[in-house]
Amino acid sequence: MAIAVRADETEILDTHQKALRINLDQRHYGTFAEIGAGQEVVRWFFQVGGAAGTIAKSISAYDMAVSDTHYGKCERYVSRQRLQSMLDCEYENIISQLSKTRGDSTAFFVFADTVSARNFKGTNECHGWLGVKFQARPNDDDSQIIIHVRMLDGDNALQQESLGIVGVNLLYGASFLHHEPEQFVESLLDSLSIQRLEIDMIEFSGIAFRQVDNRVMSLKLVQLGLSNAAMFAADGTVLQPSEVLYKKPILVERGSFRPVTYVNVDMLRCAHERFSREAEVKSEDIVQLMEITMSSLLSTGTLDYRDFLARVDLLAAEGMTVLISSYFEYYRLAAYLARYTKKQIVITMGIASLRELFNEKYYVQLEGGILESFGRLFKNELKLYIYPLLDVATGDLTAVQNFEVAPRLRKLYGYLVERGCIEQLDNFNDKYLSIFACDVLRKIEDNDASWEEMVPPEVAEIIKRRGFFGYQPGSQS
Amino acid sequence: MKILVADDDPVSRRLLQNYLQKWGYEVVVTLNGAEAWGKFEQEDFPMVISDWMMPEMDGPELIRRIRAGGKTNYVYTILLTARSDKQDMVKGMEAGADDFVSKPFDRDELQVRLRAGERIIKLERALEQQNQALREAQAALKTVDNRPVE
Repeated sequence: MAIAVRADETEILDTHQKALRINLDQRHYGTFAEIGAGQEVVRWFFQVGGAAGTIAKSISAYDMAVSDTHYGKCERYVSRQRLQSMLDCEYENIISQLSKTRGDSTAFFVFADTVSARNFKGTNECHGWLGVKFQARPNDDDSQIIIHVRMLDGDNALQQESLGIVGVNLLYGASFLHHEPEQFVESLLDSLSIQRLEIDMIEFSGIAFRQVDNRVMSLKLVQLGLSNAAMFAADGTVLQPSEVLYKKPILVERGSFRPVTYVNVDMLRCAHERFSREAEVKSEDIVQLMEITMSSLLSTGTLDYRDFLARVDLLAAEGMTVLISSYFEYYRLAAYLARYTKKQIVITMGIASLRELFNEKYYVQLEGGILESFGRLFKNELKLYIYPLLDVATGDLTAVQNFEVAPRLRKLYGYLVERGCIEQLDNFNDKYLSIFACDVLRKIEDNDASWEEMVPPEVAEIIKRRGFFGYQPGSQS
Repeated sequence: MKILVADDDPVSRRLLQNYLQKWGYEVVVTLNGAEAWGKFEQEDFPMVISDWMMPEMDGPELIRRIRAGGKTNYVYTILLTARSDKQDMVKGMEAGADDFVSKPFDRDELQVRLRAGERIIKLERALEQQNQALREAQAALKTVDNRPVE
């Protein structure tokens, strides 16, 4: 039988092998606490044999009142909050009960999940929170990994199966790959595929991961195809999309943000002001996202993590929430966001992006071509807000009103404008129209200090302090 | 040639002003129909470009007033509109518009339509001058006819 291997030629163990290896390793010992979708993870450890070497306790506090008695009250049972209370409670229990007797030779763990698998009618959101709180070695301080999964199988039994597999992968990774977080992330979908299960959030914390940047790990999820999108807040906290987007009006600005300039900030301001004037949209409810696509991050051919973090740090300085996505086509981004909200979605972009949107080469794989893509994009009242483009050489402004598309698309474009699907932003700051990110980079490279006038002061300060984009301190004119 | 522009959308207004000035026209921009009407009463404009939907006074109403205003020179009017409905076109034409340019507008199309308008204005002016000359000639002939025969 052929042995599956990773790119680095390490062997990929199947779920049975992973569970057995944990069972046979005498150091790892702990509790399984599972709610929903059966006790699919612990079942693997009982099945493969040698479970006594691993399982101190298995519990499923399925009844809500029983669950509350164990873990305290919570608003939603399939939530990060409930998962955390399960991990904390069971971890405290096992440490207090067993550390005196076997603490010097055992690395304790708690595995927990709270899951909503497909119901009989198939009407519910199929997702779950899984986590492991553990000691990397005996008597160590605790470390923790949390993931959120979307279960995509159309059948409850298959969902349970995939949950069991990812749970074993998670515990195996925590036990044996915690020192190799990137390999750990890659291993999460061993024996699975993204068609069956998507991991849209991962968070490492605790002593074993003190060097881990969760934003890079989120990026890894998308890069490795475990998820199509990942999100994090300005403070670097990894966010689960539904926690942020659920039932909210959403405003997205896509860009390379290399670096974020006054134009990016002004575009978002203009779009927010206009969005706030839409019927049934409350200004304070709008979720703003700065989206960077994987194709933008891979524009040079390889993924440069330092460059990625530089862009994200600068967006964080402006207080922005960042979305990393593999949804290059806007209609796919729209479908992704629409999963979480029925409220209005607005995407704001410049004229250059609008030009790309009307490029038919991106839609050849769709049977309905550009018409199909626009049908998908503009459903649910989605709108595009367009920031104008100034030709600095001629002084000509291009806006929605005079934007030119291929002759055969003119009527389609006119229709979308007339219908209000594409709107021109009119409250932009004129003095920012001549700013282009590529000029900022060129000026930094040329030691021309005038780039500082093209970005917000806090952004300039970080670029200078941390030497981003090749900035050389003390040499600029 | 002097053109009066009425549009409440600042971006459209700016685009029109840029284009028209580049093409050599003298441009006066106004924010709505009411302001445009005020300007029109004060100055002579051979051509007016007006948006359809505007606060205070819309494009068709502005054109109706221009037509009813009784100025002697013909004023060429273009309605700028996102409306593509036939009924709307009819309504605009009935108000007295000479032409339409649909939004979003094509720069070349706009320029061509302006040239057409210019030609009509020039023809109208030439015709007016010829009529004036004819009227003067007729008056001169009447004077000759009324002289007593010696």
